Amino acid sequence: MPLPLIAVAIIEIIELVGVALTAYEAYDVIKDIYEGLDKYYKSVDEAKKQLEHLIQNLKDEIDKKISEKEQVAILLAAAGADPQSQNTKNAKGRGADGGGGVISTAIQQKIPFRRVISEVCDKANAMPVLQLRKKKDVSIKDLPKVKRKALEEILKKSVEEIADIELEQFILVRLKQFAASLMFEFVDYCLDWASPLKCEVSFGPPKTFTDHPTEGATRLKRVGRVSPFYPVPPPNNRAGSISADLVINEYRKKPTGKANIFAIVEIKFAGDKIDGKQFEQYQAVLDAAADVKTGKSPARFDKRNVNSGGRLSLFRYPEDRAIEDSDNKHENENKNKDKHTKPPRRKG
Amino acid sequence: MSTAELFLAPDEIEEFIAETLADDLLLWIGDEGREIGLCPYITFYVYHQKSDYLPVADKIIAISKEFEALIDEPFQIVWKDDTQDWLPANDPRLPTDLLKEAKDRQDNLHSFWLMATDQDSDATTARWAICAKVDDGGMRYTRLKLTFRHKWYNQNRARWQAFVKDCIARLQPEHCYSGFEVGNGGFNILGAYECDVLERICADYFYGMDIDHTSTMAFHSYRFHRDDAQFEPELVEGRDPSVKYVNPSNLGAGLRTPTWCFLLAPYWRAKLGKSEAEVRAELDDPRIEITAIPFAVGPHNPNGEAALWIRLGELDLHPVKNGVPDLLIKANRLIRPVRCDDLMLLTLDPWDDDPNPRFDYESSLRWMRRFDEDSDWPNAEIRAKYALGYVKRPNILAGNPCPEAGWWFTPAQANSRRYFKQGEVMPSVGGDYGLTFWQWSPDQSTPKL
Repeated sequence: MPLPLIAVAIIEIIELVGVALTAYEAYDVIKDIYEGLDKYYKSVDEAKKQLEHLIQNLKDEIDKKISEKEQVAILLAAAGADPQSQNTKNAKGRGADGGGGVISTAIQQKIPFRRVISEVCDKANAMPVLQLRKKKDVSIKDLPKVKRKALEEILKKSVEEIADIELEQFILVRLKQFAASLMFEFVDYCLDWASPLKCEVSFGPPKTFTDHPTEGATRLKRVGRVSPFYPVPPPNNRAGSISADLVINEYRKKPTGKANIFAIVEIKFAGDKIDGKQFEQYQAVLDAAADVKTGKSPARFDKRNVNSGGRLSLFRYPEDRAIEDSDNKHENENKNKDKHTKPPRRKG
Repeated sequence: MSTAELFLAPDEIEEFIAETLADDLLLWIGDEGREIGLCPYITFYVYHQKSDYLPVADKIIAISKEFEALIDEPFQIVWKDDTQDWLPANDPRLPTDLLKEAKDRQDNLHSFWLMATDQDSDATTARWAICAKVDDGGMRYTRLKLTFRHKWYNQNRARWQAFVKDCIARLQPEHCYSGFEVGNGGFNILGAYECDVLERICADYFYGMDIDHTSTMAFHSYRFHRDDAQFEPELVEGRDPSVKYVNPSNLGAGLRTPTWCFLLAPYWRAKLGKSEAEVRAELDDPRIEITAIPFAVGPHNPNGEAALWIRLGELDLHPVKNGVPDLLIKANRLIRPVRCDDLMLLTLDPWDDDPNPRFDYESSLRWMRRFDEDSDWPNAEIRAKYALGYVKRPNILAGNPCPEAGWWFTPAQANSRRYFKQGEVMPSVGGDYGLTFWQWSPDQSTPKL
């Protein structure tokens, strides 16, 4: 099966880049956020150079073995074998417990590449960039204007907007997401922009939900200088636009967009707010995607109508990490232990 | 619950079905804080233009206040939309000027949510609940779902029906459905796996159950329709102009299969090509009530014709063992040309190793077509067994006289089928099961030795 090969290849790249970046951490003493970020980019550039010869063989192998026609069927098969943990299967914990908009369905949704996403989040969680903190007793407003600007672009919010937020926690969570996005973007770069995993994919405001502009066939256009992901390129920089943390494409060599979504994955690191309206917006994007797919090909898969633009998944880190095979065995042994279905009860 | 283990074992299902049928109380099953059961509901799906956002929000706010004054149990938790939190119903942090809240949402290009339930969790099936979502009208219907209490309804039928007709007259919805559902309150943003599973289980037992997932069904594709007021040419550039794209999994594509009450709005009646008189003639039956409700002239009602609110007899789950209900067959025959068979009934894609029963593509189609002449839902054998000679008989609480001589049984005791003469007092069988209700046995044959 070609897909496991891609998954293995991507994991190998992530592993290599993770090692490369961690090596720099040893001698990078990061003093404040701006210098730290600068060093982080240098690390990524170095890693790219180190990896280039290593990934060439993988690219050749992927190109040889992947047949475009098979890709959706392969993704479905990979989703079927999604290594979900009991936390995920039960949709327990954050976002699923009621009392704040129930999004348990998105947690339970089966997706391909859970192991890859888990690896990326693991690495992002331990990235040197996460050691970037504001100086003690120095507020963001005290930072020089250039540094403030840099921070704002990474956080994707202005200093004024985040005035009331628990700042330390917010910055940490955003930096983890930023690091994860850089990792996915890096994988995409390594695969000549043919990765099935695309991060920070923007859709314009309703009702058109304009696709993210591309450079060439499959490379997502990036215009940010400090953060590549922010600001988003026009026309998707208008009010009402939405950016998906991760989009899994159906076809790797076709542009990312409504006609090519297999799944939207929203990644939420610990401490980040799970926002119901965001999922409503994604649902609207997927419905627009269903219309586009219907327009292109009214019947798919055994003459059935297109009735969904794609899957919508919530990946909470660390709760929804992929489980290892050995964990799986252990989970199977214990899977009925937490069942506490009650007998019927009358409520009148 | 889990997607990797059985939600309900066969004996739990039998007990749940039997007890749900036993009387008009809401029966819950499931994990703590996520208990679900079958309850009555009504949902209004409103088609409108962007400029109607605030007027529609204003009407829904007014209706929510009237609804709250009607109910006999107070709301316990109320949704605070700007912070996306459920708060206790009397919490001072809840906004008092809801229309201002709606305007803020509109200014930020968001939809406006108004939600409350009499339970302490939004994941629990409510006795009373309200869930409204006002949208900009671009690609989704604004909707209002009211969950109501079966027990209260049985004592206040006229009052409820008058309230509903008034809501229809004010909201002028394009779809409106009322009946029984696996109560979801309308709160779940993407639906819930537990509801999907229980719906599939109950679909085998109740012809009168409806499936109403407002979040996934409320989309429409009118902006892609060249003859619609919302058509936006830039959205269909490069497409074949002769093809009118409709997403078949949404209510923009057609009506749902009838259950207890449904609306035939002018838009859908025009699509059927039938006059009000023809509809009335086709549904002529003393048990069917049709109320014409004046609708204003609008993009989907150019001649200002009335909508028809159609009530098919009494609120009933129509157990499969009682045979296919004739009124539902009749109404289904009428709306079949505009029925939305591909409606998406699942909130989550099915997968191979799921141990729980769920709808799939084939079973969804069969269920939507369950009242067609050539249907075999839930299966041909059961359908044939109960096809003929069915007369609905009420369940009888122990201590009451038998209304009709024949064979009766009670789910409170195994192998309880026995013969009662008319007027004979029907006994309680005791035990842990709760109250004893006697049901007319589908098997009226004399036992063989």
